Amino acid sequence: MGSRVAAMHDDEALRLEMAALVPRLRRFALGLTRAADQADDLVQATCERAIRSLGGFTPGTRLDSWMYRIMQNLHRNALRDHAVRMRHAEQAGAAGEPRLDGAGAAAARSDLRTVGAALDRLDPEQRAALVLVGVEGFSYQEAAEILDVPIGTVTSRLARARLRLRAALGDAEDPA
Amino acid sequence: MTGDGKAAGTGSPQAGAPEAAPLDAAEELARRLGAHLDGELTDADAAAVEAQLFADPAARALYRGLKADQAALSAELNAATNRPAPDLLAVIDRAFAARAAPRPAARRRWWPQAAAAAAILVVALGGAGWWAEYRIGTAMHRLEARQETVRGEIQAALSRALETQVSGATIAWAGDGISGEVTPIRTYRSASGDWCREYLRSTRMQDREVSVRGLACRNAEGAWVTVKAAPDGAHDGKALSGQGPASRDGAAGHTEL
Repeated sequence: MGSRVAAMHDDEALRLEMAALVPRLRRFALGLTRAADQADDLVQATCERAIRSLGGFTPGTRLDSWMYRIMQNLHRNALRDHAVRMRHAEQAGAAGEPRLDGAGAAAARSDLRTVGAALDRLDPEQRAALVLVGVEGFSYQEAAEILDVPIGTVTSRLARARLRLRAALGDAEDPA
Repeated sequence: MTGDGKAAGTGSPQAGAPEAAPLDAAEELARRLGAHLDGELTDADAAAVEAQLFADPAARALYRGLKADQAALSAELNAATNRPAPDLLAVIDRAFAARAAPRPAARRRWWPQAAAAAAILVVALGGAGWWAEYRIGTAMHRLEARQETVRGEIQAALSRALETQVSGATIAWAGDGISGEVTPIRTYRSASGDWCREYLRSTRMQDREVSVRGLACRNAEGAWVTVKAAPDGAHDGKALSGQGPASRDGAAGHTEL
């Protein structure tokens, strides 16, 4: 009985902590998907998956890292599934679906020199690394764990992402 | 929209052989400067980056650019997060309720708590972005502090050499992680009657060296004020005399760091 009460308290605490994470989860999801509706779908799927898998969360560790990792996995799977469907659609001669990696959004945007447009055009893996470290403030080690890649891969992706962003924004940079 | 090779590539992020390619020189520079911004370098590596920034104007420009891009990126994503949210809190509550389904008590009064959670959203939102900003701020302060020290040491050595050395005599100096030499090379009176001296100085941080040819004049208070300075090197050397590009702007542009 006592342990059940404790478990309920844990759930309450986790629910509050998760609710407080929602704005950050939305921000990261937008960095990953580059489309507002997809981002919020991804946040919803992430929360639902996380709550169903709470047994896999180690109390006392960072809930945010754990949830970012779930989100990043869900997004990676979505990209992979989407690519498979695109190939099938191409083989069937169909026009295919809109791209999920933001390139469509970039093409639709009139001003390509905004940071948003530049971000759209980054590779999804580079974008994830850049947003985790540059916006979400994770260390390289934490980002490597969230992305499930070696730390050297994080630094490579970061360097390439930063250079590409710089190339896109450099000329438009306000010298002031 | 027909797909292209890139679309297929995005589907297999882990397969990426191209990613395993070593960084080229430009990417390696971006990696080092980025790691400095991110506060991910050891003190020794940070000092090496600072030495590079000290010696290399292109690296300095890139560093500033990377910093600006990062701020713009945070602003972009933060602004986008301010748009109205679907009821994600309700989603969370439903999922928790489903998890606790056998216990009707778990459905009790979640609204007050959702409201409490909503109240702390605003606080939570800025958190990580602020931390990223803070790390950059720390890196910049470190750089600026270093910059001040370096400027002070160079100026002290320069003043001592110009005040005490005959033309052609070199004095060497050394500070924390930095050393240099100053050689007065010519002395004359300006039209306004001040003493002016041309000099050569070189300054080393780690394995980086910058050589500068400058002209300083002694003001009424007895302080030596550099009025012209330009890089003096095999690759970047510019004659100081005449109205070349070595104007005050040139001097400012070359100020270390």
